[in-house]
Amino acid sequence: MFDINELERKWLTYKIKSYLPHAIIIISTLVIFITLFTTINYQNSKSRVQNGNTAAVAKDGNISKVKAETITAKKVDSNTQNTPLENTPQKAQETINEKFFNEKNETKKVETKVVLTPSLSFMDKINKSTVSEPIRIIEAEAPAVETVKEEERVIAKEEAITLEEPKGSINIKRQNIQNDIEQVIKRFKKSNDPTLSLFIAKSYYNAGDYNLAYNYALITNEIDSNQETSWIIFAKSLVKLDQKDKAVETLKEYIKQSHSANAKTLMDEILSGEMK
Amino acid sequence: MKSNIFKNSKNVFLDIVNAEDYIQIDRVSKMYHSFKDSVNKPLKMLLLYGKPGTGKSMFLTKLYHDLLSSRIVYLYQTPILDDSEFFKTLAKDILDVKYQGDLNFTQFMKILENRALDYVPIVLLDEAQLYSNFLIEKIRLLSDTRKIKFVITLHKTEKEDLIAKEHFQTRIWDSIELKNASASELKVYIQKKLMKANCFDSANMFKDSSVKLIHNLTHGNYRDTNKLLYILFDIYSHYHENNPAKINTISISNKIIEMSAIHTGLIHV
Repeated sequence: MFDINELERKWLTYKIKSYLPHAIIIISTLVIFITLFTTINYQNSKSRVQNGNTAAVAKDGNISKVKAETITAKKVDSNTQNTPLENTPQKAQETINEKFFNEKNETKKVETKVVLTPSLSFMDKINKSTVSEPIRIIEAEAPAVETVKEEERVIAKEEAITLEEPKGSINIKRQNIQNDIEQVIKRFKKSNDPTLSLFIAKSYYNAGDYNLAYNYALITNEIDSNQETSWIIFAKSLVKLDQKDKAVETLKEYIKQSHSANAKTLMDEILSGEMK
Repeated sequence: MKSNIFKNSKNVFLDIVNAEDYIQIDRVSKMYHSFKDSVNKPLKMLLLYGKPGTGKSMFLTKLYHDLLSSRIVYLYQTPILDDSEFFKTLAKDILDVKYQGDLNFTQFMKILENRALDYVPIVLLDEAQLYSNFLIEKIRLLSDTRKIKFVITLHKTEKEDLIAKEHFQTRIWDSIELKNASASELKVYIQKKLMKANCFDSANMFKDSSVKLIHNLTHGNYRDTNKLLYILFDIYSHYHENNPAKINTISISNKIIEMSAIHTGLIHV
């Protein structure tokens, strides 16, 4: 005879034992897969972060280098002293589109089209208070301005003032362009595509932000040293940052390698003083 | 409540050597007829060998019953290990001589030579691996006289192989090795056995999957299968009487097969 309960208990033990190796194999396989998946994911994200950091380091390094070499802007007069230029990159970026938009009109008026960053506090002042006194608009076409920078700052100021009347439409456009650039920067950070960085460099150059134009041109050159446009933007930005010698030197090196006609032309223009 | 069909089924698998219960699957049936024909040929000795539980004893018992009607045949299912007792038994059965005291091989040979038998008696010895080497040698010498024909069964082990080699290699006229059943043969065996005892419902419960599991556990060994199925129907019978909800009569439960295997020691927990 047998004890059926005991037999059932033994059978249960047997089943557990017989399934145990399968369970161990399945769990081990799952653990291995999860570990591999996590490791791969971690490595991918790490490499992405490293790429981002490298770009950021390069960018920061260049900025500091440029900053160190950049000659501090001269103060134009007491009026301009009251409205100091904003140097923070974020604020500067906000003004890029405005500058970019106004630049097209400005090229007709001024031959040397250099737009400096307008003061945001100045903007705030405009936005907050209704201007009781008529603001004196400095003639943009005035050729008698002593230095280019002084002229540029005045133009920038003028542009900022003129924004007051057609407020709505200009603001919308500015934000859109700014958003566009930000989106392109995001895309560039993801893809590291030199075409995108070149576009950003061009946009900053056109907007008059030569520091950022210089940085992105430099990044583009690092990624793809055969981008002629990038070298030209790079050299032009240097000229705009009063680094004429460095620009010429860079162009010479590039011409040696590429024999680029456009680069030669630009170098001639810089040397002759046509390109300022 | 339905009648307990499992009780009868259980008794079918009692480990009893009975020629009437002998179930022959096709392969063994062919071997059997071939072996039976060999008995009628002028042979000195026949050897039936195989692992324990492959059906040698059943085979020999069946042969005995089949030959009984046409030949003078003696079956010794239990080995007679004492030499004197062995020859005294042969003398009594074959020669109808009741010998007092010890009877040795030489004395038996003398009696055999003095008796002019007009037939060759067939002696079937089961479990011959239990005989001593000396007695086996004497059996060999007896078979050489052609006055007695021996059919012996041996367990196929290393030792028995040696015995077969040394003593019977040149004398055995025919030999058959019995092997374990395949899964399909086992199914036929189980179902035939149950149907022979009119347990049709139980026979139909054995599907291929359950027979496969039984075959995996018993390796097709008939003795192990009988043991397992005896316990299996015992468990079924128990459930039928005490907890019928736990069983169904459509197919044999793998759980109960495994429980039976645990109880019989085929599965170690």
